[in-house]
Amino acid sequence: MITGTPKPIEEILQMLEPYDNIVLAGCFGCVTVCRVGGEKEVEVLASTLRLAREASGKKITIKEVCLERQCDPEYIETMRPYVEDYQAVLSIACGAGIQFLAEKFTTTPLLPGINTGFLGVTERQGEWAERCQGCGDCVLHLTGGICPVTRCAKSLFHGPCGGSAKGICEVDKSVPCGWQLIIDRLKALNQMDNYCKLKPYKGWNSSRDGGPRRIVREDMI
Amino acid sequence: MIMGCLEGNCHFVNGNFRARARVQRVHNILEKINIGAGRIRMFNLSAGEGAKFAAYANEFVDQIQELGPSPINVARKKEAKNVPTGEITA
Amino acid sequence: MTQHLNTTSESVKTPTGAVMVVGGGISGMQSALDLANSGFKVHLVESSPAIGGKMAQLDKTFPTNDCSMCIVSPKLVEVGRHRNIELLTHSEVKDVTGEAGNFKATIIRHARYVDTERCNGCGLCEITCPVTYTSWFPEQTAPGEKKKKLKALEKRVITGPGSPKPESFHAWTFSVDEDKCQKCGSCHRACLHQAIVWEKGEIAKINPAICTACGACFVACPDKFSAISIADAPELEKSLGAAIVNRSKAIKEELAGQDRHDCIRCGLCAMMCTKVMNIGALKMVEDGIEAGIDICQVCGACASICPVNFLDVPRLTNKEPRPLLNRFNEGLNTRKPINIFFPQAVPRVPVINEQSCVRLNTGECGICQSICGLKAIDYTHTESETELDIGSVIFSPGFEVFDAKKRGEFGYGQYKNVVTSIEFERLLSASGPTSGAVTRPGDGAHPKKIAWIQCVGSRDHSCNRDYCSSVCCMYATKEAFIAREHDSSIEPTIFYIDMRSFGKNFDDYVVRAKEKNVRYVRAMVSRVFEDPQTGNLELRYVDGAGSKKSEVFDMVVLSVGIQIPQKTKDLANVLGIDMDDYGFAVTDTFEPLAASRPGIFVSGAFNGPKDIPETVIEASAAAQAASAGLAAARGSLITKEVLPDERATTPDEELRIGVFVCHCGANIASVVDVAAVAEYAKTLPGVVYADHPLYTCSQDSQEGIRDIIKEHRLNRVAIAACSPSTHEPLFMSTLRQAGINKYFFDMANIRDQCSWVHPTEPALATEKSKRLMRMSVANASQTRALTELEFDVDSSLLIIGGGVAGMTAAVEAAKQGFGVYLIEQQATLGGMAQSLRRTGDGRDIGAFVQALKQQVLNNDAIKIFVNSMVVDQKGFVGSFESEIMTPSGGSRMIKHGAILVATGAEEARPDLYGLDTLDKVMTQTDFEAALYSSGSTNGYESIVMLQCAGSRDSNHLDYCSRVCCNQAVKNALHFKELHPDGRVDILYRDMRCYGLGELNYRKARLMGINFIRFDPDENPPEIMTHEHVHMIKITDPSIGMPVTLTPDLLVLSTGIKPRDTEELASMLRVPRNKAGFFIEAHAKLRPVDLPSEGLFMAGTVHAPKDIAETIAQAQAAVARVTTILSKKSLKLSGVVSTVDPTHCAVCLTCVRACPYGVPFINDQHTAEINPALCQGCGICVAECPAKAITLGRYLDSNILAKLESYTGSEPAVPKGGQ
Repeated sequence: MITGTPKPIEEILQMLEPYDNIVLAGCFGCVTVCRVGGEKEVEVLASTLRLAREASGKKITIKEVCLERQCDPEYIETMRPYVEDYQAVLSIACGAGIQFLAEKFTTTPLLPGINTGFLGVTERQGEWAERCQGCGDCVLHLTGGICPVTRCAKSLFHGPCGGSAKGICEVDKSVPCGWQLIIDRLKALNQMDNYCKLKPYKGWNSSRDGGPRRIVREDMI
Repeated sequence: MIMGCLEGNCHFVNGNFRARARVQRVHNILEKINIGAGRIRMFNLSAGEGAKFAAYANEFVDQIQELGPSPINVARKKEAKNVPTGEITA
Repeated sequence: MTQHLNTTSESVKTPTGAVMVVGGGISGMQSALDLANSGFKVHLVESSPAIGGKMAQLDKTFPTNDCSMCIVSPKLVEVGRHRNIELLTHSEVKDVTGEAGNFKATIIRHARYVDTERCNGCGLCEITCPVTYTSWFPEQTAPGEKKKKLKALEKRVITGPGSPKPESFHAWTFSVDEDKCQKCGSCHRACLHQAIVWEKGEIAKINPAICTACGACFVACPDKFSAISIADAPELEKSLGAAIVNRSKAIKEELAGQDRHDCIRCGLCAMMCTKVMNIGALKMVEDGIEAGIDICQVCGACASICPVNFLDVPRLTNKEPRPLLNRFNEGLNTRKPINIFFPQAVPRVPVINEQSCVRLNTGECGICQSICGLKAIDYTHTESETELDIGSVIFSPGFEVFDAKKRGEFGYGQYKNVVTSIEFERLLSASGPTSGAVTRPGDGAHPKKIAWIQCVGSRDHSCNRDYCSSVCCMYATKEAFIAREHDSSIEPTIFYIDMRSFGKNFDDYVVRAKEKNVRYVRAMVSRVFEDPQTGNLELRYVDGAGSKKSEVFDMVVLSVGIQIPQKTKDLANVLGIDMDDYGFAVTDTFEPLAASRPGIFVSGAFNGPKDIPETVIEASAAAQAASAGLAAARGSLITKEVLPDERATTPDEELRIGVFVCHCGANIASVVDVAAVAEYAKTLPGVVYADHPLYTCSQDSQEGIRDIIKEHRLNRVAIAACSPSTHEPLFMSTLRQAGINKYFFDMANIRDQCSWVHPTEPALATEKSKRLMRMSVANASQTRALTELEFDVDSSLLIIGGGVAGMTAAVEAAKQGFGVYLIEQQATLGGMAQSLRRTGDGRDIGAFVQALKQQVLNNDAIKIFVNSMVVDQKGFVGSFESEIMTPSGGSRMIKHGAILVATGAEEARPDLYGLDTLDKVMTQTDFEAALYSSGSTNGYESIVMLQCAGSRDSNHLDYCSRVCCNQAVKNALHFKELHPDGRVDILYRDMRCYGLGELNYRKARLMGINFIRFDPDENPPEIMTHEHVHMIKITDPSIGMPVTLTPDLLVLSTGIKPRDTEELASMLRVPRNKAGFFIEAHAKLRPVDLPSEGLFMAGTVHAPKDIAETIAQAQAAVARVTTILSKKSLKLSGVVSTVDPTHCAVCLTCVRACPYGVPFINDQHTAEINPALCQGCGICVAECPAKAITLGRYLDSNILAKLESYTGSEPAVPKGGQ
């Protein structure tokens, strides 16, 4: 799931400074699950903004909507009949959704209401952690199911660096060393031989380094 | 003012702890948007504590009085003055 | 159990399907509810004017610190409202004739003088009654004879700080009725202000310019003339007394805040004394008030209506004033002759005290009757008798506390700052005499150092209280704990002999108390001395080291024991029930609830001292035992509700809201202008009808509302009245009876929230009422019809565990007519009891278990699965389905309506002191077996028993196992019987021989069994065990010397540990505590229920307990099960959460947030909430990020409607939600 955190309200208020008539758009996808951009957050944020703006003497009109997903054009189209009536759209979907809205509504300014985080998991209610960076070339079968790209702060591929001490990463005391995790896990699986099987080098061109990526599935078109 | 049962005494196990967390969130929001975090507060007491209820209510009223009119009301009054009568919308 | 019923062959008559429960404390209430919910008619007889018993008097309860009243009052209301419980309060049992199954009981119903049917508990009579003392009533003349006018010979003038200053607040107008005036001049002479113009032979005339309205003239005018009349006096139309009280109240309000003690010559006292009480002891004179101290009847009416506290009752009389003490508050404050027993009383109907009511004794006064708008007061009531036909009797009369005066050395009754523990409860209580402030009765000062003295009237042979009262160690700890919570400067000290915190989680509680600075001193206080100057108290005692000590405290609390009142013993004799030397019921260990007379069952403190949860267990158990023999008559005497079809409403139907604003007599209407509120309601959108009935809750009003709903085609109702928690169910059922959905309703509480809290600001209170009304109407307009799910109940019970608890429950459930599936993991039934031999009173456990097993095996209704276990379980209360793995490896699905967990426990075998490696180290149970295997203890001359061997020890079992002390004493006594010359030393930490177990403990000490106390931190025994002889070194604190013991045998009291139930618990989704015992739904009031509906437990799976306690809990579990299985179908509340699947993001938030684990993700990939399991708490609703969950009655539209109508000063059409 794509995770995110709400933007500081001050920052949003600053963005909205020029406007007094906006759409606030949430998304029933990932951001609902990680509780930053669902129906409930739309209502909470809209109320907060109305209160803040009214208190500062500059009322704002907000139309609240929550799209099924902001990353699919059909759902975005449901906004088209009225989007022109507003000065801007504040979206609390992930960055992908916001951009897609911007692409579709060319004359309306699009504003982000959340900071999009990472591809992660729910460790427990209210706590999410990163697990995947979408590098495009998965090696989890060799690393005991623990991703060196994500779990190692330096995305190293051949064992820990010198900053690994007692299983802790030098970047932050609360971060376990990804390679320690991998090695422990490989030992437990009795697969330490995999440690040597890793590719001699990692081709990062399937990752972000190759520029914006695109997936085309001929069978589905 | 939010009233809950004593902590640990919730009929619904942890309902009042959940409520407290939500109150804290609203508290933070009110602080951030300069309405005043002191305008929301949660109190815990048992059903048998009538006197405490009154004391809490008075305490909270005092707290609100001290904070003065909410910025929302100040803004609304100001607006009401500027707009000719008869055009005030509910 | 009720074997005698089944074996009475001659009783061919069908039994009577009704049970009489004697005693309305927590025990009687629980029995009554369980019975009434199982299809039996219950007659609950209580001698007090209200039910509730001792529990209602307590402040908090241990070990959870729950507010006692808060948890008991829902029970009070439930009992009071139950259609199949007939409450006979203020009544006593005279006799019970007949035999089990068909008794006839004669009940004496004491005169209450208030009609329970008419009275609605507004309490106005109590507020208005001016009498505060038990009078010395003047001698009464025979009927028909003329009343003699009293004439004072001894007089005293009461003067104040200054001379009287006449003030004429709320003055009445006095005038002379010319036709009646006999020109005697009495009025002229009486007037101190020369306001009356009179010449001999002339008619008197009052000069209004000078008159101060003191009424001296009115008082002086002879009764036979009655020529002075009063005008402008509110309430005078009711009675003069009512008018006086009204004016007194008005003046008091006028003078509020002024601390005046000088006479304002309002004249109310003299008018009250002369014209209302017909005594004439008071007269206004130049310097103050002249009192005829010889004729004053000392009723206190004058002083109570004096607006300035000028009169002091002891000064007005030459007799000893007798204040009317409040029995509920243990006499710590006073009350009126007409009073409601306590604020939450059920029935909330006052009773008139015959000894002190002026009206009942002299025929005067009668104010209460004149002001009662419901005409509920009737002075002609007399004692009456009622006969009841019943099938069995439950006798649970409760206890009284020990009379602390009998232990004169502690100074109770002499020293004001020495109180009993029950008095201290009232001092702690927020609704008590001090509103919860801990103050000394002597001077009202806040005490700092408070001492508790334990075992006052317990464990005391000198006053025939040899038993342990079982609860005092814990309640003293609780009181000390709570006292410090009220006032953190309090330093509590508890003086005790043994800390008997033997119950579930009790030790933890004592540890917490110690952390909260409660000090424990192991010493028996010998005497208390008072310092007469300061009222402080010096305690003398001998400490652990044997030296004499003395310490001064500000206040002393005597932890008084439990005893059976003489009255109870007399009644028990009438009923023909055997009692022991102390008045406790004699019962058999294996039939712990059956009294000696068949068909009569006992529970609660009368069946031995016990705390609340054990009482509740026994109460349910007694209900089961009492009904098992009546199962054939189930449902024969109960009343069922017949309802019309519900009218379906369409969503676009026009709103037709009906509003009722209740006067509540004068309770609301005296402050709030209810007519104005009703008029206002008519202006609200959607309201088509508004009225303001005198008493909305009365029977005729309810019928009226039903007719109005039909006549005006109302589809919503809003009522502004009292508390929804007590009255909402009543009003909602009225809606249903009128044929509309009961959830089309809302209620505003304008009594508690307006008239009661703002009595001095009627205008504002009315405004607030209008606002609450507006919100209520707004909410009513947003209500939706909710469906109450009804489903069939499967009448079989699944019992997991075939020990004593499981087998007992199986037999009893079969008697109730249910099918039973009994699952036992082992190859044989019997459980832990198979390794036990005799009970403390010498009964043969082996024979009992065999007999029980036979009963189980021979009963066709019981299907037994040995070597089997439950591997899967689903469903909900009334309709479960479980998969049983059988020894063949196959599985079987069974359907059942309830589950009883009775998986039991086993004796712990810790790796300590060579247990299981050395022959001469064994557990108590091993030793018990050895004692019964002939000759196997021969050759042992010296035995040491080590208590708490691996118990109360964080390395082994962290808790107290409750049974070991009694077991050790039992085995020690048995050994001494077999080997009189043998030596037994018992090393112990606290001898926890609770209740009647103390008797054996005392016997053991007298027989020469040696008890040596140790503390693991101070003097731990040094134990070296060997193949043949052991060596134990310990410092014996009683002699302060080290001793060396060399026993042949070391017996370890190792405690009880629960069986491994981790998988079972997670399958059943019920919690266990850290030790592995199952956690009950409520530690105090639901000790048999598991937190999930339809699941119960019995026996040692709950906590360590002995065999009688296990049997009782098994019976109790069957009683609880019966409340479900005896119903054909169950109906659930309509207020449950529902998921809108089109919005659900399947994010699991609800699944994780629900405290009951109800939501799940179904195969349609959406969250689902089973309405049968949902408790309606709304936590998931608040948490759902997609707002896909709603809870009926609490929709956004409901809350927004209320909020919007709160702020809107004009009634606005409430908008819906988003």
